Order: sequence, then structure tokens, then C-alpha cells
Amino acid sequence: MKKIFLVLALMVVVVAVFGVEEITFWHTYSTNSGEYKLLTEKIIPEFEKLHPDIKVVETQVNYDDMRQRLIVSTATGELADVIRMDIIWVPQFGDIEVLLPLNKAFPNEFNKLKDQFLPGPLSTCYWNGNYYGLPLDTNTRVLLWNKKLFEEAGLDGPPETMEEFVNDIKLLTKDKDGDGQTDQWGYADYGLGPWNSIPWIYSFGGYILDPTNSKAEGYVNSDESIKALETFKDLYYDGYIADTVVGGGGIGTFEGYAEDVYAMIIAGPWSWPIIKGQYPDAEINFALFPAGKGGSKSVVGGEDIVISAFSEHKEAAWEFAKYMTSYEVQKAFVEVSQMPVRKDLVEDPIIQNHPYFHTFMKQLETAVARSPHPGWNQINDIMDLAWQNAIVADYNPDFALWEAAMDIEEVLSEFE
Amino acid sequence: MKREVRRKWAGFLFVLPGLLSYLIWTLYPIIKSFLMSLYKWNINPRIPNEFVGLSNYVKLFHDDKFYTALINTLKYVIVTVPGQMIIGLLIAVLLTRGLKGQTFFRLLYYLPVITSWVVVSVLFQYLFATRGGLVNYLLKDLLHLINRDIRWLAQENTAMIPIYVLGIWKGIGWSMLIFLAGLQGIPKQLYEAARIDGANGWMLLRKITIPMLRPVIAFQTVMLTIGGFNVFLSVYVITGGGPRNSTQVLSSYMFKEAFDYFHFGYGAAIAVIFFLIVFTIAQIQRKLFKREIY
Amino acid sequence: MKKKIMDLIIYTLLFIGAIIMCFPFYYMVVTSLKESAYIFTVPPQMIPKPATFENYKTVWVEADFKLYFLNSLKITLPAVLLNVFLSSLTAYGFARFKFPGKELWFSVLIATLAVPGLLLIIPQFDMIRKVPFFMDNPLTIVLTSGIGGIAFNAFFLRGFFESIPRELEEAAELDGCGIFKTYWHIAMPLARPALATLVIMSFLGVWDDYFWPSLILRDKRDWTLPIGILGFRAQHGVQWHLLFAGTIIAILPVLIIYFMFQKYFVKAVAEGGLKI
Repeated sequence: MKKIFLVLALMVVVVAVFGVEEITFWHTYSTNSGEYKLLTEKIIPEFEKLHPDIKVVETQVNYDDMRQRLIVSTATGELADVIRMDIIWVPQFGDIEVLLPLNKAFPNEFNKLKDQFLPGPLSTCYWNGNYYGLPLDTNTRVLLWNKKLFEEAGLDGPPETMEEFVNDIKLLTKDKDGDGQTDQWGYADYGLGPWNSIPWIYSFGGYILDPTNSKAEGYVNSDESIKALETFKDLYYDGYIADTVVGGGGIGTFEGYAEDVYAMIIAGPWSWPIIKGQYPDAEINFALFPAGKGGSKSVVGGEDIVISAFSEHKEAAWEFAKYMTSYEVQKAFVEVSQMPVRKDLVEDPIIQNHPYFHTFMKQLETAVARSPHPGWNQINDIMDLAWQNAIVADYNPDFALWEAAMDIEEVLSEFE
Repeated sequence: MKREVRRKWAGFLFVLPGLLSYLIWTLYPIIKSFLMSLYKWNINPRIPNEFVGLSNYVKLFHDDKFYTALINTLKYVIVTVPGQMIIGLLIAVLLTRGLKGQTFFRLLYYLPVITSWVVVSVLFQYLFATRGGLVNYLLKDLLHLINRDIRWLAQENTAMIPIYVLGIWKGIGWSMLIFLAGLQGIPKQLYEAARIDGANGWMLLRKITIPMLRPVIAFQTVMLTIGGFNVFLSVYVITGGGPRNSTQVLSSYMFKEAFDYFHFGYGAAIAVIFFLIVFTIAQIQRKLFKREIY
Repeated sequence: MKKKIMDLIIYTLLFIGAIIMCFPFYYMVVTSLKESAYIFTVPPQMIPKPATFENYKTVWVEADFKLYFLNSLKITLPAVLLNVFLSSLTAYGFARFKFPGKELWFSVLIATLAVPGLLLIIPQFDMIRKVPFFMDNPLTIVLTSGIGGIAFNAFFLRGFFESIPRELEEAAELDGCGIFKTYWHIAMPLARPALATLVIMSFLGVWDDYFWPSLILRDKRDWTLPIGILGFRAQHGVQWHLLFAGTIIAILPVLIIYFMFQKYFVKAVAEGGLKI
């Protein structure tokens, strides 16, 4: 008791002498979410209790604005000390030396921490020999299948292999009212970018870049990558995949799934609260993405926590970043539906007993991160265009992907 | 003489605050943007910018996507500027017949003008959705003009249509108001005299209304052209430039290069060329109208 | 008789036009009155059933729109006054006086009307952030909005001032009225329609401005309405019913300003004799 008192007294003295250090934290938790409530009412106050000399000032930024804000703030050196950043931006901002390379700034501590994280999410922080952040939360996309429509079609469970998948998509596409227009589709998604196409490409055994992220030719246009695009194109042309993939608008994937229009969609863990919010009675069934030659592969999403290279409170910021990725905090966030990035939580009862996280955690074991490369935005658009070229403009898939390979090589050369 | 000097100084003092704030807040940023276009410009101020001379411009002239964006922008201007003006004029003419409820109609037609671009863009995206979209519902289920849903935003040849429609829809009110103002300036006697001479409605419009409105038409043409070239939010929100860059316009392309790819120098070069094009067109339009008026 | 039929046709045309113009707004109002479960029905629900004002209450109270509304007002009103005053000074200077370089300056003003504002934001922000006083300060928005758009406004007002007969001002001056007094007491009241028009345009610009305030005002307590509205567009979905309720709240003041000043609008343009 006395000891605690002494420590407290010492802390008070420290605070009195050195003052409170204020760190700013930008994040994109929307203000009416459970995550935000947890962050502001519990996580930050507890951190401040643990570190009375640090005060955390959080600012909520809409996801759509975060990028512009980061860019303008970079231009003026006005960045927050700590930022929760979409994983695909980290190498880009790291490359222009805006983010603190944690492996250089805190080498001992970082190397000790590193192995606690799942490899997929950790890889998103890496570029050119440096780690520019710690993974903070993660997600992936899995298959949602509509049990009612499956039963109507005489199918008893979700597809497990690519062959079954293609077959089921065809079986589940129907013209129910007989007006000559399809009104039930086997599969729907809302785009053709890598976020949408990676599960197909990688499950077929294809690639976008080589494992070192330095070569595209022979990977993005490998036979398997071409096969994935070909299969998708044929399905779309024959009307088995809903128009939403080419951006035709129409009924959204979640709404369509809940209203028995789409038999299968692919979606992240947020689909559960969103669908349940609009359709409290909807039955949601998750399954792993069907396995092809490359196994069952999906795409990694999520956020990293990064520290600004401009920060004048790097030590305090590091304390906060470590705290946010600690076992207790990560566990607390699971309760408000944020998926953890720590290995020691995968087998934890809190994940195992969660209504739907286990399928996602299982999928994450093999999920692929979009290549952590500062030119990713360009690569992303090139891939998107290649798939559009094949699917909207009827290019030959191998030509479309060969063109993409050439364009990506040019982007890669920009960063050599 | 003394008065002349005093007035010279007074004039200078009058424009000084406005001019000064213009210099600081518009001209200086413009010059800075031009300088940016000569560099491989890094947004991180701690990394020195690499001077590359005109190479951003050289790259630009070989960039197919730039030409696509330029052509799409020109098409947008060619469709929406006359679109807004013709419909605006028509409504203005109908509204000057002294009917009851004029103010009410004026307000209704002006509503789109005073609503923010972001909101109406989001709204139009929903209206033009393939399935469940109101436009298809109207054309197919109510009017039976088509028997299949049109995939407005998914096809290259139709994706620009919702953006044109939005541009015209949002601008009609403004055009109408300016025309209303112009119509008030036409002396009534002109019409009366012409009617006595046996002119019909169409002839009145052609021989009196339009010639008398020439300054207003000139003003609108230049202003709407400038506005048309700056089209951005509707594209950004509704299609993001796709499918296959078929709706990419100059400003959205510039935005993409600068803010998505961090090619700020290149983005600035697009802005400079963009500015030169608009400036030239506006000057030509002014010259043309001047010659016709005087 | 013939005129009656003509009128009927015109009314019909005007009504059809008005429906097309206003339908999206109707749809917006309808959606703002729906419960979240009824937003995506196919075919779309044209009359909200059940209708509820709950969304407005949520937006106003829980989502802090009361605060954002006041913030928006506090920024917009002074900014509009500053903007209109500054523009009228500049325009009057150009309209009534001769000074060296006058036409050159005016041409420069007009030439830059065509510049896309998007790319100016970085240099502009760069200036602001160098003075810490300007960051997170609503006053900054008042000032920057107040001095924005001077080029167009000066151009718009100049023609109007030029169309006012000179004799009145000359008479006032002969009576010993100072130059500024002449401007303030003679020219400004005569320019009322044009100024009212400018108020509408300026109000619209400041009230709807989103990107710039969102960069400067980082503290939630300083947020304005557009920032609040787009907050309903979260990363993984849009809360349409709340977004539209917020939009309707934001449109109301614009409508009021428009109603107050609209009778001048047409007059202003008519008398200004827009010349390019």
C-alpha cells in the first residue's frame, strides 16, 4: 500500500515538474459506433491513468476525408502524433518519410513486439526495409450464402471448391417471374478492383506481384491469374453475376443478400451489424471463400497505427501505440466488433465464442495483403482497369493482363 | 487638377483591400502552383524537390488519359452549356407572361442551384441505379419506353448521361434567373410594334428577344463554360471517372494524379494547361460576342 | 378564350417542369422521414409509412446539429458581410475612378476566374498553418471566406455601379460630401439589388463550403453543418435517413435568405447590364 502511495506521489511530482505531454490521435471510428464509445470512455481514460504525464487528444475524421487531411497536413508538417491509418496507405506515406520507422526509432522494443502480430497484418506496415507502424485491427472478406435460396435450388451447403462455386452460381441464377429478365443472381460484389478480385485471383493460384513486390510480368499475367479473370468474365457475360460488379448501382450487395436477390456475396465483418441493422430478422451465413488451385484465399483489410515523423512527442506516441496493440485493449475492442491482430487472441474464447468472428479469423490465416507498395494506388487502378477492359469492353483476358503487367512494371520502376 | 489627383488616390485606396487579398489569396497560390509544375514535387517539405524543367509537360502531351479527360470535359461543356441556356430561356419566357404564381415557380426552379453538389450527386447516383433506380423504374415500369433496365453507370456510352443531366438540372435555375433579368430590360413597345406589324410568337423570339438578350447570352456562355470546365464533384461522387475512364474529366484526372498518386508536379502541370485552355476559350468567346454586339 | 387555353398549356408545362426539378427534393424529404428499415424497398416507397420525425430529433440533439448550426451561422454571417463590403469597395473603385494600371488589374482578375480552386488549397493551407493563431480558429474561415471570390464579385458589381447615373454622385460631391461618404450614402443604397444578389451567392458559397473548414477546424466543437452532414457517410455505409434530415436542416437557412433577397435578384442582373 505504502509503495503504491509512493509511486503515485512520485508520479505527481514528475507531472508537476515536467508537465503533461499532450499527444494528438486521428482516427476514423465513426462517432456513433461502439468502437468510438469504448475508445473515448474507457481506453483513453485508462491510458491516461497509467501514464499521468500523457494526455491523449483524439480527433475523429471521416474515412473519406482522412486521406486529403493527411496529404494537406503532410505538406505543412501539421500531422497528428499518432494516426490510425488504412493499411494500403502506410507504404505510400512511409515512402515520403512522413511516418516514423519504428524498427529504427525503437529497435529493441519493436523487435520484441513484432512476433506477437499475425503475419498478414504485420506485412502491411513494411516497405523498403522499414516497419512504419504496428497493425491495429484487421479484417477480410468471406462468402455470405443465403440458406433459403440454396435450399430452393436443392443445394445443402456452401461451395467449398472452385468447381462447386461456379456450378452453384449458375444454379442460383433465376428469372423468377418469367419476364425474361434475371431477378435472382448467384453472385454479387460491388466492383472489379483488387479488393474484389484478389479472392478470385489468389484462390485460382494467381498473383499480382512477386513475393518481393518488385516484379509484375509473369505474375499478374500468369496462367492462373488469366484463368481467374476468364472464369469471372464468362460468368458475368452469361448473366450469372449481378451488374453491381461493373458499378451499375442497383440494389446494394447487403440489401440484395437480405432480400433474397443475391444468393452469394463476399463481404467483411461489418456486413453483420449493417445487415442486422436494416433487416433484424435476416439470417446470415458465413463460409470460407471456395478453394481453387491456390487454396482458399481472401484479401486483408484493416488499419495500422502509425507515428508521425514530425512528432515532438515520439516517446509518448510510442507508449500509446503499444498500449493500443496490447492484449487487454485488443481484447476489449473485440467486444465492439473490431478484429484483433494479435496471435494470442486467435484461440481465445472471446473469438471462438463470437457469433461470427471465427470464420473471418480462419480466413485470415491464409488471406493476402494487397501488395504493400507506395505505388499501390496506381497498381490498384491498373488492375481495376484491366478487369474492366476484359469484362466491360470484352478484351481478351490475357491481353488485358499483359497490358496491366506492362503498366505495373512502369509504376514499379518509378520507385527504384 | 487637384481633384484629379485626389480621385486617382481615392480609386487606388478603394481597390487596395480587395486587390491585396486577391494577390495573397488567389494570385500567389496560382504562381506557386505553376512553380510546382516544374518540379518532381514532394508534399513532404523536408524532402527537397527535384527540378525537372518541362518534363511534366512533355509527359502530359504523350498521355492518352489526359486527352480522354480533355475530350470528356469538352463534351460536357458542349452538352451542358446550351442545355442549361435553352431550357433556362424557355422557362424564363414562359414565366414573363405575367401569370400568377410566378415567384413560386421561380423558387422551385431555383432549388437545385442552392443545394450542395455533394448531396445532389449522391442523390443522382441513386436515381440512376440499374435496379431499383427511379429513372429505370419510370422508363420501364411506368412509361414502358424500354423493356430492359438500362445500365446507366456501368456502360461507357451511357455513364456520362447522368452527369450531363445533373449538370443541366442543377444549372437551369441560374440561367433562368439571368434570362428573366435580361427579359425585363427589353422595352415592351418593341413587342407591341412588332405585333402590329403581324409578327407571330416565334418571330418575336427570333427577331426581338434573342438579339436583345445578346449581352446576357454572352455573359452566360462565358460563365457557364468556365463552370463546365470545372466540373468535378459530380464525376468524383457518381462514377469516380469510370467505367474505363469514360467519365474522367480534367479536374478529376488532376485530382487523381495529385492526391491519389502523389504526382503533385504532374497534377499542377495539368492544372496549368487546363487554365490556359479555359482562359483562351473565354477570351475567344468574349471577342466573338463583342464583335457581334458592336 | 385563346389566351386562356394558352395559359393553361403554359401552366401545365411549368408544372411538369417543376415536378422534374423538385422530385429529387421530395425524395430527400421522404427519406428523411423514414425509419432506417424502410429506406431500400423495391419499388421505392413514395410516401413514408410509417412517417417519423425521430431522425430530425436524432440529428438535432444527439448528433449535435444544434451546435453545428450555430457555428455555421457564426461563421457565415460575418463572412458574408465582409465579402460583400470588400467586393463593393473594389468594384466601386474600378467603376468610378481612373488610376494607373486599372484595366490591366481588372483583366488579371477576370483571367483567373477560370482557375480550378482545388489545386490552390495546398499553397493556401501552407500560408495559414505558418501562423498558429489561424489553426483551429473559426475566425480564419470568416476571413478566408470573406476575401474569397473577390474577382467574380468585383466583376459582377462593377457593371452595376457603372450603370448608376454619375450625376447623383457628382451633385453630392459638389455639396461637399467626401468620396467615401458618397460611396456609402449614395452609391451603396442605389446598388441594393446587386448587393442583395451578392448576399445570396456569397451566403451559399460560405454556408456550403466543406473541404476548407474541415481542414482548419479540427475540434468537433467548431464543426459546421457540411462537416456534420458528411459524418453520416461512414466507412462501410451511409445513414441515408440521417444524412437527408441533416441536409434539409442545412437547406432551410439558404431558402430563407433566398426568399428575403430574391425580389432584388432579377432586378440586379437586369440593371447591371452584364458585360464581359
